Amino acid sequence: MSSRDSILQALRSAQHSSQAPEVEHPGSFEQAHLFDDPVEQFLESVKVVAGTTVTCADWKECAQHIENHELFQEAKVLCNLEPKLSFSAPNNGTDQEWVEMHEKDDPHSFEKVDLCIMNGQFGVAENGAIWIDNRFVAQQAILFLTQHLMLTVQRQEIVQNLHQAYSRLSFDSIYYGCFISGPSKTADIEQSLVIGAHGPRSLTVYLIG
Amino acid sequence: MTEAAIQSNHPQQAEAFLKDLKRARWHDQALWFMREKRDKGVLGLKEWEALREHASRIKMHTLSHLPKYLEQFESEASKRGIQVHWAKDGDEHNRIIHHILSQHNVKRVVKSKSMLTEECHLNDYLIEKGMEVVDTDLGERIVQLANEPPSHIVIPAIHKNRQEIGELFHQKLNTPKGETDPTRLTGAARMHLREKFVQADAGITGVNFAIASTGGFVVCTNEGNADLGTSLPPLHIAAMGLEKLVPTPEDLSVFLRLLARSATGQPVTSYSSHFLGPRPDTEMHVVIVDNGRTGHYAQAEFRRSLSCIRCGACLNTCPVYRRSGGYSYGYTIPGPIGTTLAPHRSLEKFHTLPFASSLCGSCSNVCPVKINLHEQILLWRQKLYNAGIVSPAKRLALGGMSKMFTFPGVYTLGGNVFRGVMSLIPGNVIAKITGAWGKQRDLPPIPKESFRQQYKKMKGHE
Ligand code: SF4
Repeated sequence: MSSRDSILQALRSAQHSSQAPEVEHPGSFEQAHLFDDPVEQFLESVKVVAGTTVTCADWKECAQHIENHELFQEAKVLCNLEPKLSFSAPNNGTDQEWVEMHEKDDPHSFEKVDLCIMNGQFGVAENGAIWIDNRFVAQQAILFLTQHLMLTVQRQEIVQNLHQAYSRLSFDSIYYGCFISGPSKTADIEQSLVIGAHGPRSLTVYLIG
Repeated sequence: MTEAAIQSNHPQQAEAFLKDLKRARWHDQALWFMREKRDKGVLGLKEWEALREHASRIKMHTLSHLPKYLEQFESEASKRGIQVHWAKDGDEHNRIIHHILSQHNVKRVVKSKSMLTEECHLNDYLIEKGMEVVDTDLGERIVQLANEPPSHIVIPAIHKNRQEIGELFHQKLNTPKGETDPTRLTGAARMHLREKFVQADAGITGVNFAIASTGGFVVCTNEGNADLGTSLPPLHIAAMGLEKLVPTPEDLSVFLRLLARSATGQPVTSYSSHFLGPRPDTEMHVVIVDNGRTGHYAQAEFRRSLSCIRCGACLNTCPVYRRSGGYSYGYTIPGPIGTTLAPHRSLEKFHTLPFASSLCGSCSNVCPVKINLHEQILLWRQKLYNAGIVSPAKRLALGGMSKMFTFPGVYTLGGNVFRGVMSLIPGNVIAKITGAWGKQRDLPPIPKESFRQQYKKMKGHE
């Protein structure tokens, strides 16, 4: 018998012999506490998880803020995956390189990216997490290779908690998705928090609208 | 050091750990700090208790339908292009993984944290076959460089201080002698591991949660190492214990809310990565592992401990773990959860573990999926007693104890006598009875009145 079949058989016979009662699934969790102002809470949560927040009235203001950001000005290699943002010619001379992303790219080609800008689908008030998936980033490696990450989220796209988050998610046509909550971090050496373990050294969240 | 090489003898190992009192105290405090962070994280959530109850029921439900959900997972994952394998034990798990790797001509592997691959000793197996295997979680990399196993399931290098890590990095990664700053040491590891990520031919991860209804699985990290390790090379292999399932994506919301809060007090880990299929032109494999789990599953009274989500909270709160260290257990998973899991492998070999507990119940109270840990530990003591494996002194105490719990009247009476007698016995005698980990501390003053007596009095005053 294959290992598969013998494992399943062992479990089935244990099910019968142990006579443990069948337990019903409890259904959706309905007792979650709701925030009066989920947007405020979202901004607060992003700070708690060591991210930075910027609120902008519109996309134009957001683009301007990014262009004036020192991370943008110091970056040598940049990648913009947010279609709603466009930047005027880099203002610090000619040594900025912009990379584009195509599905067939070798993910290693993004190794030198200093700053990546991407659209988050929605944000979660309780924990500052932002959902991204492969429909908007063909090679997710860039989100972890980049030294710094900027994510945009629209004000009307903030949900209360993870229960609401999953109720709007569908996994039907994606192969990768991630809740990103703050920059990469570790506390493995004497529990001192260090930002920038393997992934981005900083996360800036732009709330639009 | 492998599991087999360590003879599990908790009192002996704990005694060795306690020889360095200063370090033992430091370890104790470091873990208690984690427990306090957990408390803060939990306090922020008014619905905490309801959420735990919900999680516990989802897990019990899933376990009671486990074969059905495993089959569903397999068929949904296959539809997504994930190749599913089954391993009856650690050996088969290692062979399957090695086979996939060698088919792809893999020389270099990067791994993110997986207690299951530790349990199966995958690293040793692959290294022996000539592959380079690099653990990429910082704590795991530290213990790997030191040639040690993890001493904690969430913070693998918790037993090492910054001086030791600095010296290790100086020798292995060429950091300046005397460098002990965590930020600079982490920076050095970042550079070192970046190189490994970029060179890797394959990435191996564990699985935090596998989703039956859709196929696919979730891996949670703070460092982003599981994502870096799997998004660059063309091959991703995930090792998964057969108990890791949840029925639907909606259920993930419950567990992701509990996991990080219980582990570190964070509202969620930095990355909750959903691997739902291979990237274009790459392969993704999942190895479902039994390795003793079906035997454990068959014991209905112990089944709940298969709900464990490996948050580490029961380790951090445990007065015995904090004062005896992860290695004293002699098992891949230490602490209260390790104590309940290890005897399923061998009651004989791990017979000292059920006594590595004060039965204070703190583990059961913090457990986010409400596993009745201390009750299971007590059950193991009874099994040891029935099997005649326990030492005579313990048998005496245990025999009395099981009677006490069966007859509440005896418990009440016993308490009264206990309070009287205990106040007369010198501390060092009590320490002898409780085992090595009791030596470091005195018992709290014995109250003159029992809780029941105090409660009665209070009621009388109302
Ligand atoms: S037994 Fe409970 S508290 Fe302990 S690691 Fe598992 S889930 Fe966490």
